[in-house]
Amino acid sequence: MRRRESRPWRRAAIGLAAVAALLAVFAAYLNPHIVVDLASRLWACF
Amino acid sequence: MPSPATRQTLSMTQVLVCGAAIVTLSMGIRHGFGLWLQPITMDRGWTRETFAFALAIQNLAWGLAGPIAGGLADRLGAFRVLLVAAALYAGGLVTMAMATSGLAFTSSAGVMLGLAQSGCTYAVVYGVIGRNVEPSRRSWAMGVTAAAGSFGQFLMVPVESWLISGFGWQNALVLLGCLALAIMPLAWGLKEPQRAPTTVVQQGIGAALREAFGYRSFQLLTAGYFVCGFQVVFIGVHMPSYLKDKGLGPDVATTALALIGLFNVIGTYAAGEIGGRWPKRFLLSAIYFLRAVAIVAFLWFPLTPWSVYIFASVMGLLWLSTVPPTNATVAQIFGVQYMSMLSGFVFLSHQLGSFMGVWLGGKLYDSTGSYDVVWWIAVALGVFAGLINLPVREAPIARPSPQPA
Repeated sequence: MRRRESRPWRRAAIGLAAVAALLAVFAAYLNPHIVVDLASRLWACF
Repeated sequence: MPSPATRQTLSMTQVLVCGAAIVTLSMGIRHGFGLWLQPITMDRGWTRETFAFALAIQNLAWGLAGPIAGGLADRLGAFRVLLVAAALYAGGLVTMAMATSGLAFTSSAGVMLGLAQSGCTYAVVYGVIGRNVEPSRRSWAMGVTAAAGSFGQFLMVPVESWLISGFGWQNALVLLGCLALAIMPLAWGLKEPQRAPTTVVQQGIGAALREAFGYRSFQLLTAGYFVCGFQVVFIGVHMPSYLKDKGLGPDVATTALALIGLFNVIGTYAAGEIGGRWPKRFLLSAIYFLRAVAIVAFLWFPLTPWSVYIFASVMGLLWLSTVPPTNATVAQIFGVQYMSMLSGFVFLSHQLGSFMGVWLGGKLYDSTGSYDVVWWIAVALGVFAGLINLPVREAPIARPSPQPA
């Protein structure tokens, strides 16, 4: 019974952790160094 | 194979954690290979064609070896296939770093890595999920695993960019080879208990293949997956070039690829979740129709950075969202005895579509001077795939003797 009650909290915690991880990776793409590096490598392909 | 009621299974948490981690690594490591084009071609003095040819061979090898790796996983267990695939992955990356000729590079980056990917990506892991997760939660579990693969792709591009900048391109490949070895301990988590002897009549591989390829719904799913490969790879490979032609800066293309990666994670998870509640044929149909609508809107509205970001976000949501419902439908129709092998055949169609998307994109661009024709082919194919998924029958196929679900 106790296990069931804790499930929504566990789900919420997992969801929050997933969102935090996604935002952290997205922030890495916005880092000026990475933007310049990726853009120059990407552009070199065409 | 024993009935599901008596078969000893792995815990769902164990399967999901290990399966998701394996797919995160296997899908993630390969996703940033384009970043090596510039340093490798400059350092080795090769043409871009040498590099591109090796990666094209990698994609074809992945698709062609998929059914074989899947068949071996179905017969011998995913564990053994994963071990061999991890060794090939690590070996392929290290030999890719050391290759000094085009042939050696094609053998390592092309053949070895293509074979490795066939043994440690979705088809093999989904077989374990199919056999160990109850049917009502299968689509969700496949969505979780596909989302992990999408996350790996999203994560590894900046990580690999950082590795190349910090350690040099060769050391970066060796480090990734070490990372690929982590698949081996994770494979232990997918080691299934030996199957007990059973009195249930088993279906042979030949019979399973004849049954699948003679079944209308399997043909329709396979054809739909071809379209998925065509659209995704055409956009992923040619969109930066398209944006450049239209005068947009490289930062727009980079942000667009980041948005596709971000929303792809959300879309694949959501597709698995929705596929467990709604008929999967309608979900697949909706995904393909929405892709067609998104492309038409993208072409219709004036091209600005914001229109690119909105298109990238919508396409990201629809990017790999076909993976969980397509594979869950295969499991639902044919059962799980040959699931990895059948998923491998469906994926082969995806890879042929990918090849056509890249090749036709370049070919028609060269002959017409723009991507317009290919964009409209992608729209037409989206409508076609949306329509052909509607009549798919998801119910288990009728057989003379019962097969496990």
